[in-house]
Amino acid sequence: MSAARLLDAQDLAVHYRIGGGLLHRGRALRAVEEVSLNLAAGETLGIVGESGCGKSTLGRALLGLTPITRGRVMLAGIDLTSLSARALRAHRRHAQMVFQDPLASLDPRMTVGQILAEPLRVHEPSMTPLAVRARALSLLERVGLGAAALNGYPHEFSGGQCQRIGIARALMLRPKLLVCDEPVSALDVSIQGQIVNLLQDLQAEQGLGLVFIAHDLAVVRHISHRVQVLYLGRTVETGPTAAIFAAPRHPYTRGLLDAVPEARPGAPLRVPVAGDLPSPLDPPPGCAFHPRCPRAQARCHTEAPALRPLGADRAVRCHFPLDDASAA
Amino acid sequence: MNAAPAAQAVPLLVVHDLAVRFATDSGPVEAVREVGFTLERGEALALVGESGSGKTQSAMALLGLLADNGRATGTATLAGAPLLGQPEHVLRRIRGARIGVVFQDPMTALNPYLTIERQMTETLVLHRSRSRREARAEALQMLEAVRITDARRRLDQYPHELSGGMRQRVMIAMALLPRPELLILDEPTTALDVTVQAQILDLLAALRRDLGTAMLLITHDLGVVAAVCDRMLVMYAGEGVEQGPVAELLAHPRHPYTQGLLASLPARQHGARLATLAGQPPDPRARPPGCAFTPRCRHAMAVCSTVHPAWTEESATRGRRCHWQPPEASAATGEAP
Repeated sequence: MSAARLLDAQDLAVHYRIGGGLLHRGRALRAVEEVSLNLAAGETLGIVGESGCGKSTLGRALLGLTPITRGRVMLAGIDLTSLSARALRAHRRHAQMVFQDPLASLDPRMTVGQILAEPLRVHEPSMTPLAVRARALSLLERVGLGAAALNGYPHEFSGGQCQRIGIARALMLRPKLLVCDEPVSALDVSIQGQIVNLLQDLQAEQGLGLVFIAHDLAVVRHISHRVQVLYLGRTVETGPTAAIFAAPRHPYTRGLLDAVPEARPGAPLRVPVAGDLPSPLDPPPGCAFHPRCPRAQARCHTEAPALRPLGADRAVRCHFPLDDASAA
Repeated sequence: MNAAPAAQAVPLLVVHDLAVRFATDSGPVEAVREVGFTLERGEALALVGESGSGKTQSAMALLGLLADNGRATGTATLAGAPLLGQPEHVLRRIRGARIGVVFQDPMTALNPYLTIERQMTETLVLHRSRSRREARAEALQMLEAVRITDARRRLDQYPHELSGGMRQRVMIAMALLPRPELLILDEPTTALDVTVQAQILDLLAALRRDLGTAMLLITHDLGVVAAVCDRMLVMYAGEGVEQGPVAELLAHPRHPYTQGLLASLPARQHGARLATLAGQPPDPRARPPGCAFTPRCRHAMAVCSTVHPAWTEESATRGRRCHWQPPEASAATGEAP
């Protein structure tokens, strides 16, 4: 592991037990399996996938908010799995989360000032109320809300404004890493750009590392330096954003890109991926994508492909990856 | 409505000067005002807008499904017969037979305790005097028409046993079962994954081709509009602001809001920063006196903040509500894709 890396996760697995009881152990839901990723300061990694692909679970695991079944997560040089609960809580200040539903993530009974002060109350109890207020004010200003917002309650703000408050709260502890879980998908298109621009500006100013979890490929393409595509808990493709969007090598990535209807006159309507996502409780044998894959062959039904490197900075989990030409 | 010339067919749906007001604790709120549009048989029209634009409440008003504190005024006719203000028993019959409805979340519209067969056939048996057997056959046929795999087995399943995409197919099949003249779809693919959304959009396009059902599609997604609809009405703050053929509006938007909306689509942009529409829509309780878009409009003039712009038909196919005149030529396009 390079010392420069802000975040480094190796072979991460998060399993949940579903259904178990007195007499049987229930079934394992492998929400995340064999996922490795890393992130440098000032960099944005986009995590892409559809519902049930494990992207939100992965985000929580990166912050030590959900128990890890296997693997390890190094955050700012420290292995989260090696820490006591108390030490983990203290270390977690370096990484904060921005949630999808901005209003639901803010306590409705607290004023914005109290919401912003809360993380400091826990992590920096010695800070004076005046200093806390000063930091809250400067962050509110920074995210585009005036000082008047300090005394308001969450319900008095629009969705976009609540997301600004959520971002300000995440920054109160001056973290090195922000994990953003679908931060703009609940917002109208005309507001989404404002929040994305804000996150990019904050990153440039503070050297923040961003993990940007989303299903909206256009937004991910815009904000991410690198992209990791998940399907049923596993990484199926990873690489630099421009390369992945220009020439995806995994048939699922290709399908995701093609499935987005374009707001363009005469744009073709394509149905690149048939069927539904299989149940993560009962994943198909072999390659999990084979029942929906237009390129699947006999081998894909039985043999699970490994994540194989393609050149220095890309990898794909597929027996028969697309070549550059066919993807063009 | 004006009486149409006898020889000419009456349009399927004509909406004129529709307004929807809600009585709330903080006074009356006007969610929709001065909305008008026409839908021909077999045509697909999109009501497009962001949250709070009034697109859903406009459709609810037509269906007689407004919340108790809501009231609709204006006129709406279905094949020439009045729709607005009809008593509930008349509207219920229209909803059950002539207008099908598909909502965003099929789980809330399906009864979790009934099999798919029961949900689908209840109306046929009770109101159309079909035998159980006949009704089952019709339901099966419709499930196959919406391309449900293993349709016979699905009839005996419960909603929770189906995937989200399959539940939405069931909703569409249920809505189509009485062979309605009009299908109203409220964000039908918003809750679905993009790969499944593509399947449903393809299905809707095919159903239009095969059954000729007219569609009123409510959505915030301009990609969805382009995939399914012929024409679109863009709504902002409860009003229609621009209307026209989808291909024309996407290529040459003439209202500053439509222009801004298209320019802010991330998929259309390659710059380092996203172009955005500054600010946010007005609070419906404190609507500005002139044009509601004025505070966010880059073409706003003095008149815009004082005089409410009237709807103007600008050509045979396009209309707009705006004081600003875009330069002629094609300069007024959104950013090229």
